[in-house]
Amino acid sequence: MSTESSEAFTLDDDAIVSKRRPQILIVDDTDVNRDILSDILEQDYDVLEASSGLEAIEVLRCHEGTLSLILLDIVMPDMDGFEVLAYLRKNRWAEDVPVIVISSETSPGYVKKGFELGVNDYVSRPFDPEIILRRVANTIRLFAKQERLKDLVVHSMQEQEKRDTLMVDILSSIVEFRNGESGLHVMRIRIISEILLEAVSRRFPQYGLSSTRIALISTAAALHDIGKITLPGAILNKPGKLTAEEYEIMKTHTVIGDEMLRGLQHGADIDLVKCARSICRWHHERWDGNGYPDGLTGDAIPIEAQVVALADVYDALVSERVYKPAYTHDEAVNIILSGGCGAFNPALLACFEHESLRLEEMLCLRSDESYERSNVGIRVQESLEGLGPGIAGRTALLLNSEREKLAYLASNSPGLVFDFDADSDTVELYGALRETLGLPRTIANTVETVARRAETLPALQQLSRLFAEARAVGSDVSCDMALPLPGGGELSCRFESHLIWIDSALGPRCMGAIGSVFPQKALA
Amino acid sequence: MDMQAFYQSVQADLDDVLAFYKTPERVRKYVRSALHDKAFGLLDDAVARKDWAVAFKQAHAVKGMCLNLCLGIFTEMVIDLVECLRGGNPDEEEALRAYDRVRQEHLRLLDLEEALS
Repeated sequence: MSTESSEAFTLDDDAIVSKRRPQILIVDDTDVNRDILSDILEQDYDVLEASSGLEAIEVLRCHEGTLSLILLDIVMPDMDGFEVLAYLRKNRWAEDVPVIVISSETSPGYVKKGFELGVNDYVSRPFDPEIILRRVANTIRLFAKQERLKDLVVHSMQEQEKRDTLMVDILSSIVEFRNGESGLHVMRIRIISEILLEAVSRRFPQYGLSSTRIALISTAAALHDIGKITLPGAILNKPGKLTAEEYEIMKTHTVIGDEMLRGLQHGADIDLVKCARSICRWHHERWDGNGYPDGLTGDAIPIEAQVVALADVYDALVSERVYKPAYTHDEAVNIILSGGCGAFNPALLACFEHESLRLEEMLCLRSDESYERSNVGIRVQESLEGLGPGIAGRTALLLNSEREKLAYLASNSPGLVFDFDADSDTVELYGALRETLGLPRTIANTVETVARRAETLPALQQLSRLFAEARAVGSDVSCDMALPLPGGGELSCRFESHLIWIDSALGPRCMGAIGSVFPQKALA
Repeated sequence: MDMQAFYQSVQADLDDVLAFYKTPERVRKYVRSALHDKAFGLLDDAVARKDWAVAFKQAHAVKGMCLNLCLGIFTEMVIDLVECLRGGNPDEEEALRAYDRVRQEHLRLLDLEEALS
């Protein structure tokens, strides 16, 4: 006779992989197969179920970032398991959640295709509870470890970068202190350079400015005046105009800075030092050849030196110096654009002009990093102890929370609210009007779905057409429209959509859209 | 009739399935759910329409349930049907014969399941 404990589906050893209950999605078109798996897993896991591929996509979208594993059947009507896998892969969700295929299909072709599409394991029927529990626990444990390692690598890189930056800042501040300037100059040069570099990267990809390169240049920028450490204080801090002789001495700080770094016993070959040497030597060169020390022209001046030169000039203008008062931001911009500080690369000036307001704002916004620094410490600690969800997990939880808020508000809307995600090519529909129009909750593969269901759901086709127009125009759209009702007749509505754009390295990119359709008079 | 007799009637051993699912009550719950699954009705409709692609998917769903519940000769009949329908262009006579065997056995098992104490 069975006892209570022998009836439970458990492993002899500890199958629980963390202090939080992992969440598992079971995708299978037959109730009994889902029931069996659910009974096996529910003691250790939170179980979600989907009876079709399409339903699985909907669950995935609602629980993005919180799922620990998917158990996926292959042969299903409508959207089969392979299509779900292809969808996961296309939208890069496969990197975030492991998949175990559960199938009665054991032909080598099926198994091979599954692995090609990125599945982590393949389990055939009948379901042996012990094997299921072990494979699930192993896969989740392995994946969680991999994620934690990824987070740790990211954290340690960030920490290393912060330490490098701190050391550079300390060194630069010593120079600036001797130079009669505060350490804020160093920080501002870094921020201004970063903003300009990001703008150049977006608009002029020919300069090959990757995010890593931008971070490197921004850090190295702080060392631009390191050569001044050797100059006499009387020249550095002279309140009035320098004599011609004094000016010649002042100009030597460029070459001296370069030589100081070249002479480093260790590290002269590393990218940061090479970049800093370039900045030190050429940050007083000008586009037309009228700069110093080498009189380089045009793009013979490395882009890092061009950018820091402009940042240095701008910061010098908006700062008070012993020999001059501070100019306003607008005055400084005008002086630079009119050539008052020498000639700069026209492409760089275009970026400077475009970003000038942001420069002014960001200088204030980025002046206090203390909050971020303290939280980084906590996040690293959490990651090491495996207590927190890590950076990726935290981001996903925040996204999920925002999505839940939207879903709650939108579901209570008397109209129709839509949320289109371009990356996953899915639309979520909410609100009372959705049911009236007979529209599904989620639409995946939008173009094909709309084409396939055009006859049965004419309202969907019309909404899709309007939305395509909005995307083509590239801006928000509002208009009146008549939507066909499933039982015949039409409904006068107001359509409004808002496109969501981000700046990417390749230029502006449409991330999706949100919008609403409201009946112009209340529905009977 | 008890679960032991039910499994004997499909030339299977109840102990095999109990090794997985522990209690006869749980096995009975699964068997009942499987035999009343919508896949059987959808299979009937698809065969009537000669929609072999859909029939394959539904027969496959039945195969999965049978394998999970170790339903002996019924599983073998369903596997025959699945293999016959695979590819979507079956020998119709053979497919209908395989389908009829599955249907008759399904009806017989439904009667037996109802008689379970």
